Amino acid sequence: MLKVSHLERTYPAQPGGAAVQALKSVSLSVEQGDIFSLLGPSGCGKTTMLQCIAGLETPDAGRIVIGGETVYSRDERIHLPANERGLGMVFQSYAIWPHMSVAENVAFPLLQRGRNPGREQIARRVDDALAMVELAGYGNRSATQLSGGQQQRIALARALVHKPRLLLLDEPLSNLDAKLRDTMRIELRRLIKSIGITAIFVTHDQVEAMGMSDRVALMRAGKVIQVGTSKEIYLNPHSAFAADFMGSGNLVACTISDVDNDRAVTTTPFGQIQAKVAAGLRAGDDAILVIRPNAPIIHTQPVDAQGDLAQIPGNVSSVTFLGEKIEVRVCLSGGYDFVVTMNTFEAPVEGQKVYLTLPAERCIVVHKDHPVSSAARSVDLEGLAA
Amino acid sequence: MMADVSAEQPSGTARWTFLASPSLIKIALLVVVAILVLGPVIVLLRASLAPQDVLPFETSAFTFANFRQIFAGNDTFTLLTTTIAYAGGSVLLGVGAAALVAWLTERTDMPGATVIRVFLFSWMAVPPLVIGFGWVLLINPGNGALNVLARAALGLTSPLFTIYSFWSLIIITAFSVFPTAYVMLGGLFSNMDPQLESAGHVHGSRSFTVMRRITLPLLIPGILSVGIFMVMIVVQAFEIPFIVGLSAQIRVLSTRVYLLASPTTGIPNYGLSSAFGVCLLGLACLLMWVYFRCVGTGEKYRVVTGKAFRPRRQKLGVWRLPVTCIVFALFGVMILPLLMIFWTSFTASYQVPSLAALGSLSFDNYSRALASPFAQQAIINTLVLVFASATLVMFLGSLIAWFSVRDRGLAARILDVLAFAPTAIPPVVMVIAILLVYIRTPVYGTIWILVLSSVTVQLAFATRTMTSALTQLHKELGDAATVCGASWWTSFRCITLPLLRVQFLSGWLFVAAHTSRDLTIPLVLMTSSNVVLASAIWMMWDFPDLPGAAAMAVLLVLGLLVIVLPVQILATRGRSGA
Ligand SMILES: Nc1ncnc2c1ncn2[C@@H]1O[C@H](COP(=O)(O)OP(=O)(O)OP(=O)(O)O)[C@@H](O)[C@H]1O
Ligand SMILES: [Mg+2]
Repeated sequence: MLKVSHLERTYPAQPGGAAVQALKSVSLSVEQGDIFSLLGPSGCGKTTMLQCIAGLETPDAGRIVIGGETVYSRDERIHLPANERGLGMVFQSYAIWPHMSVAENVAFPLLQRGRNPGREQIARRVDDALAMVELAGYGNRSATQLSGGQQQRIALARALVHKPRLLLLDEPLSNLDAKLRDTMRIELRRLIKSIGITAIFVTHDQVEAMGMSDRVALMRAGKVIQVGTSKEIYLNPHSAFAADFMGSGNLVACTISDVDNDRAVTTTPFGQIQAKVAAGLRAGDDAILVIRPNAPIIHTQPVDAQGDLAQIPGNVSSVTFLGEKIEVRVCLSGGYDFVVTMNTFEAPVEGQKVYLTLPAERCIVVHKDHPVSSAARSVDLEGLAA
Repeated sequence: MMADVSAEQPSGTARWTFLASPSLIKIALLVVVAILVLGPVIVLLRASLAPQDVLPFETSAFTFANFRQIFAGNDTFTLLTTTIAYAGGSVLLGVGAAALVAWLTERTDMPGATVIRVFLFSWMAVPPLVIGFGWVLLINPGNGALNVLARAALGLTSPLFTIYSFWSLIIITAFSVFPTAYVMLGGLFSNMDPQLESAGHVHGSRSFTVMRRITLPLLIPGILSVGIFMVMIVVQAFEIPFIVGLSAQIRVLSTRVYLLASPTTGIPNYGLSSAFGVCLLGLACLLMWVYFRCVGTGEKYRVVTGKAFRPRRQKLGVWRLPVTCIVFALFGVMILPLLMIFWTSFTASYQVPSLAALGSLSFDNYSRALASPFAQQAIINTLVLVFASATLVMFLGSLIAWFSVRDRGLAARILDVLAFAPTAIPPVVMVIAILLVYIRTPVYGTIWILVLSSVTVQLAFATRTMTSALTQLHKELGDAATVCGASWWTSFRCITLPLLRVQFLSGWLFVAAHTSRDLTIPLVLMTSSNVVLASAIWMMWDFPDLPGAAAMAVLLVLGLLVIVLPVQILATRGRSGA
């Protein structure tokens, strides 16, 4: 449905600043009917990417194909203007026009480009669109009299009323409060799926991306780092950045002592641990061992460590009650503070000696981050210190 | 549901829509603005290098004779020093008074602050032309009302005041600088973060010390930049030096430029006039440069933030009554010339105000003025001029603002600079240059050349207003329309313009007020068929028909007040309500 290849976008230097390379040869491919997330930290180029697809921003190089039609190609000198791409878009600020009523807002796309389907047809389709977002009967309200959640749904109705071939959403949930965000996320997914439209969804929140999308592209500093379902990226990240961004985890610097197929033996400050290994790592490499907080199995007594199980003793240094779970910090032999989450009903006491059992399939060795940014390093260090 | 998607895809668009594409509009705008702004400047430069007494188009000769003549005589040196002394003196007085009154109304418990604010904000409804005439009637040495009264009361033999002196010119100009400077300073004083002052109080300083050590240093840069800006304005000003200064033989650059181009006797010397115009332009550009050096270019689009501080108000204590009296006395003096004009408009022939003359007052002048075809034509012309130029210039300004805020390409930047340039071009110079460009075309002599000149002169203001408005409008509002399928033009017309309607309207009113009170443009371009109210007043005054001129002046002021006053009262109310 959507194919983006080698897209580049550099914002020219503003007076008193340097040029910003917002997209660096980004390639993506989105299947018909998928909800596809662009996930990444602030400033990584998600909005730029979306705007290039929408046609609001002109890339410097590359190619964009929507549903078989090339809408941008540097080499073929094609650039279809945004208003001729036939897309729908929900903006971060919703961009509801305050000088129009709700119905006028929603009817707007139906009246563009020389179309005028007639009064009844417009009224019917506006009503349908409003009913679809469960705001039937709100047509005559002024757009300024709506709550945040309602505005968001109006924006969605406006983006869908002209049956676009692709729906673009730029952080549509970020302006809602936490509770509403959760319900709207489920609602949004249900709605998009029921229409069957392909959607590109931008977010910087990994929980949102996981809850919404079929596939996720993880972005960082203008590049796509990893593409896959959220489960794939969570369980098999390629890099420390991907591991850290998709969820919390203990990131431990280690050295790979042996690689066998998809398994590796790593040397860590607290002993040898077996783990899955990301592609491209070889014996002798310095790497990062990722252990999710819910990965270790905790015993109060030493058990037989057999096969690929590793067992590490430690002392509970603190226990934090978080409701559904508790967070336990375990001080390991090398002086490491290791974060583990546990069932609320199995809370250990502080100072207690525990044994962490680590099955190899729950641990993964990933590439150390390229020294792209020092920010990533400090994330690693935090992980180590934690 | 996806099945019918392809049917929804836009089919071929109407053939003419390419005319509304942004790049074509941008090019058209560039051409229009270049013709408006660059055309006159180029012709001015050409004329300054052409022999005297010929139009720049009619010769191919180049000569530096004009500049040689300017720099040869020490007449020029006097002219320059007079101009600078005049501008400096009146700005010092005007901005000083404005700063004091702004501090009193914004930061102290002086009563009547709101009245003062509305009064000073509405003062832009009063044409400098009318003020000039008013002062002439008040203090001319022969039969000026104040002089006559003083003679009667004090038994003096010589006049107490004279309008025909350098000091009178400076003081009268200071009175016209005062309201503008107040408007610029008021926001500065009320938006100052009171925490900075509170910090001083907390540390045990006395009020006076806080004012001297904290408040004043914080405000000095602002006051200074307003001062430099006002010097720029006064150097460019033409009307008061023209009305008050000429009889007193006080020449400044702007009046010299005018007199060379439209001498009372003899033929126009366009060459020399243009050369002086180039000098004045240079001086204005220099001041502009100084201004931007002082305030930083960021200030160009500075918007007074709506941030509502509740500043700590200084208690005036025993000073409250005397200070209030002095301030209101000042406004009394400011109004005097207006009252004088008002009085004169009811007299059959000019006489000094007295109880005895009260019986002979009548509305005759008004009915006479309104009945004459000359005045009717002037009123119609004024309406056409005001509506056409305010609408056109605000529309142009909005378009330019859109490109300079949203497009930011090279062409957009050139557009922005071109639109800003008229700020540095003194109106009298600009108008003479426009005269030179169009004198041989059919536009010359019609009301439309006045429209064209007003648009050029007000372009910078309109663009600045709409630019600061547009920067506050979220970009996504326009983008949303584009993604919905709207063409650039539709998005501009249906989304951007309606959302900026408040700023558009207030800009429109400002331009309308300034266009209708302006004398420079109608005077320089005056022919028998394009007389507007301002030039009609001037002609009647010159004739001389003082009562008739006064009646027309009162009508003009009333018309302007109708536009300006409601807006100012609403704005002030909105401000105190916030
Ligand atoms: N108009 C612009 N001019 C110059 N630089 C820009 C412009 N827009 C974005 N950038 C820069 O490009 C980079 C990518 O910006 P973008 O808006 O795509 O980030 P983002 O991933 O959407 O971030 P966020 O999550 O904060 O919205 C940033 O470094 C940003 O500063
Ligand atoms: Mg963004």
